[in-house]
Amino acid sequence: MDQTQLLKGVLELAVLAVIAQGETYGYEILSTLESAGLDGVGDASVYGTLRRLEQAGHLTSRLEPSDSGPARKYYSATPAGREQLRAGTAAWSQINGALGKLVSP
Amino acid sequence: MTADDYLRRVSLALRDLPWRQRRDLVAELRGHLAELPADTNLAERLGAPEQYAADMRSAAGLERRRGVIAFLRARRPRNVVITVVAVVLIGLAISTTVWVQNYQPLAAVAGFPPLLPAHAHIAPDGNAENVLALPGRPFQLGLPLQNTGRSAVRVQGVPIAGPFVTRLQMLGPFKSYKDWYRDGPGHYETFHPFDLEPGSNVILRLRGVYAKCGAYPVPDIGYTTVTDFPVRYSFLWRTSTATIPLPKKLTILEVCS
Repeated sequence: MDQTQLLKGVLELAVLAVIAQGETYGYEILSTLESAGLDGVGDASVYGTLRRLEQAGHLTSRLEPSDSGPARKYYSATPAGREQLRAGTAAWSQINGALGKLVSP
Repeated sequence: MTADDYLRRVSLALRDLPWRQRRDLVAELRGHLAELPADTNLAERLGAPEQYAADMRSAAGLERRRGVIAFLRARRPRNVVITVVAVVLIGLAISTTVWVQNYQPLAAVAGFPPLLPAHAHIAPDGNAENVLALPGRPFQLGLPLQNTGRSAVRVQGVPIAGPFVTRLQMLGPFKSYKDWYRDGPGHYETFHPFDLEPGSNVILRLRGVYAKCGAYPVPDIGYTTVTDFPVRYSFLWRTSTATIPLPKKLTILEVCS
């Protein structure tokens, strides 16, 4: 199965997990996801997910002016976002455990 | 494709979104493009701009918006304000021009008959005043006028032509006919242009003599019909002639023997 399709379902969780580690911005989030092995995620999907999480109140953002280029938009997780991450992690563990029993590598 | 081209096409694909939302999304993408290595092939890395916009829309849950409200929200607020102000100003300018072009506040004073020539008499059918014009005999025609509008106009004269030679005279202006009755009818003076204020009255009178007969197809007899009392007036940049209907048309019969 195409990895991209699987990733779409858990992208929100992955993005929240990266941001929960500390304030960060879009390009850095993408780089972190790629170095973690999630390299099939489209840039547009990540930015779209950031937008959705921010609209839902799971993230806050601030603009940091840059001398060399456009201002960077830094994201950090709100308490609601951390709660969402906890709930998502629990759900993921449950699915992962269940799938582990069904699917053997 | 340059970064600016890419951004422009993404922005175009998101043009239905509220202006601030689109600006933020494009600004963030601009920052992202600036982070990418300089030799990055944008179409290869990000896909076509329209696809990028569609993917971001889909991930963000941003539905395509339609309708008048969405159209207005997608415009930059400053531009909406400028457009609205411009439309209002143009509308005001047009309506002001139309109003000025059509402003005609002069009317005959109700209940006050016109000043007719001596010996004028109602025609048998009741629809006209007839008078016989004998060259050299006195002639007069006058009308009490009122400014029924809300702005003053400048009265310039009475451009009337007929088988008579006259001078224009005026009585007033006065605020109301009560003043006129209280102060007496007063004396007519030679006409000069004057401002007629709203609600004010004036009597304009042509006074003179019947002139020589014109050349008529039927030898020795003819007639001139006067249906209106024309008053030349100016208001702001415009000068015009108001044609005030006489209660009954005046037929001047000329016997030219």
